[in-house]
Amino acid sequence: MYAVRRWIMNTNQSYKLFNKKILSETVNGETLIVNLEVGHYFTLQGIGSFIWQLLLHGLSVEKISALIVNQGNCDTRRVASDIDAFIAELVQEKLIRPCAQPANAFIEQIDESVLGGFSPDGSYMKPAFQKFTDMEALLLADPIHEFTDQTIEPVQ
Amino acid sequence: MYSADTPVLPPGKLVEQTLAWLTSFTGSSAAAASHGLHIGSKRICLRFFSHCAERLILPALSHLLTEESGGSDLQVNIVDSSLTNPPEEVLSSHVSVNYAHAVEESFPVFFYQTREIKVAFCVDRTISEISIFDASARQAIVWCELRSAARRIPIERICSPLRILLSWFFQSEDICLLHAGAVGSSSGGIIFAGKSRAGKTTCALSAAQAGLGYAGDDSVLVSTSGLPIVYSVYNTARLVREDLCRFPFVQSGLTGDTANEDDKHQIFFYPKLKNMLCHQFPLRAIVIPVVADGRSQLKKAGPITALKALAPSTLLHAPGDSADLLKKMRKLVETVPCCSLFCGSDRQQTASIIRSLCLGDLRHDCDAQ
Repeated sequence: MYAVRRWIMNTNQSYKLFNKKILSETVNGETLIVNLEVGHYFTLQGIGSFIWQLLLHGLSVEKISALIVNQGNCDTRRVASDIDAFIAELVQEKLIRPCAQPANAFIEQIDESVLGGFSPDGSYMKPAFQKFTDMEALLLADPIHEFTDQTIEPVQ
Repeated sequence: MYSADTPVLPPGKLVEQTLAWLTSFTGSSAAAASHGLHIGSKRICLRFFSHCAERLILPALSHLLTEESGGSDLQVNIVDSSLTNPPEEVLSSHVSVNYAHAVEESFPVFFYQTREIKVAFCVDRTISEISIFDASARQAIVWCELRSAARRIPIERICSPLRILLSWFFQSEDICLLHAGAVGSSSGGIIFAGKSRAGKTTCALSAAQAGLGYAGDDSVLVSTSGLPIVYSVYNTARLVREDLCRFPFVQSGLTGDTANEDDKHQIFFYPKLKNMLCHQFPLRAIVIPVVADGRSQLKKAGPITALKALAPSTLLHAPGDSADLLKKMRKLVETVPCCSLFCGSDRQQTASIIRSLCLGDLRHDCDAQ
């Protein structure tokens, strides 16, 4: 008998930024994410940037899947699988974490400019990110331990 | 070791107490020397309590000295280890970070902030610096260790002094202290974005050698409201030994304090090369230098590519309100044209492209020149 471990995505699950050391900005459908804790940064294009923004708007995985399927001519099962894998990677990189509270977001609240996450020709592409670790050495040489009047423990 | 039960003093109190503590050492609240500087359209008064600190900090900023009298937007009180120990006892009544422990653990940067007060402990093994900034009082105190028997003063402290403090001060002023080099003239200029050793210094010095005004190789201020303006902060450059012969004009700006084998040499443009400096100019483009073979080429870059080159190192150099700083940089890359400059071996050709960029001419945007 072998124990089979796999990522099981709760499709009603919503996510939020892992902590305050994760910053992101999106410009023209591309997103830069900076992890100030470890000095890694990431870029997302197309559908990846699209999903990231929807996650930050508090949409559940299910809603994001539905939005993507409705936006383009793509296979529901494939989209769901791709999003599962993508979110699992974002979680693994400690960029996002599940929200305890279910999201209370509505698609209507989202800026229409967000809804442009497909490739230039409108076709669906598997979401992915590029990871850059070249700043890690800078942070290791000069780490910042941040304190506020609320949190006195060093940020780990 | 760290506790949350320390009292939070009202704004101004920490600076006031630290100054009182300082006076108890010096016997007077009078500074040994005071200098007014125009930095990024603001007037900043540096009050040195010893001439040792003055000799360490002022040269990199001396091109911005002003004789104008009047009030200042920020007063920085600077004291050093020749005069006092670090103001631990004052800080410990307010900031629950044990300075001695920070040194012991070799944590290079501790950062503490409330709404109004920011405190940074920068510990570089045996060379340390403490910056205290009070935004509402517009006062700051910097304590710096001058020299240790074991280590030289890091070149960053000499070439980019008070960087954390200036970054904090200008964040509330719609001006960012960016990790970037800059060249230009009064009609316009560019900034070079990229991590260390990306080619910022080489590009900036090549352009300066070709006649463009030099505004910095590592840190510049850029206003983010309205038309972006670049402001020079430091008149310094850092160059590895093997590159000195490529830029012979910098010889007169070399300090007598020679670098170690692995270190960079520090070059001061002020006073001997002051005619090569440009203090401020409108920003025409954000340029990402890329070391390349063959002829130099310019290619348009997307805003996110520019943000990728600019943001991580800027954010990691400046503890504080990083989210706000990132938003300002995003605004900048959306406002200003961005391009990658593939720098070939012909530095004159590279300088020619940079000159065109400073005039707002992006016609070099082709794969083959």
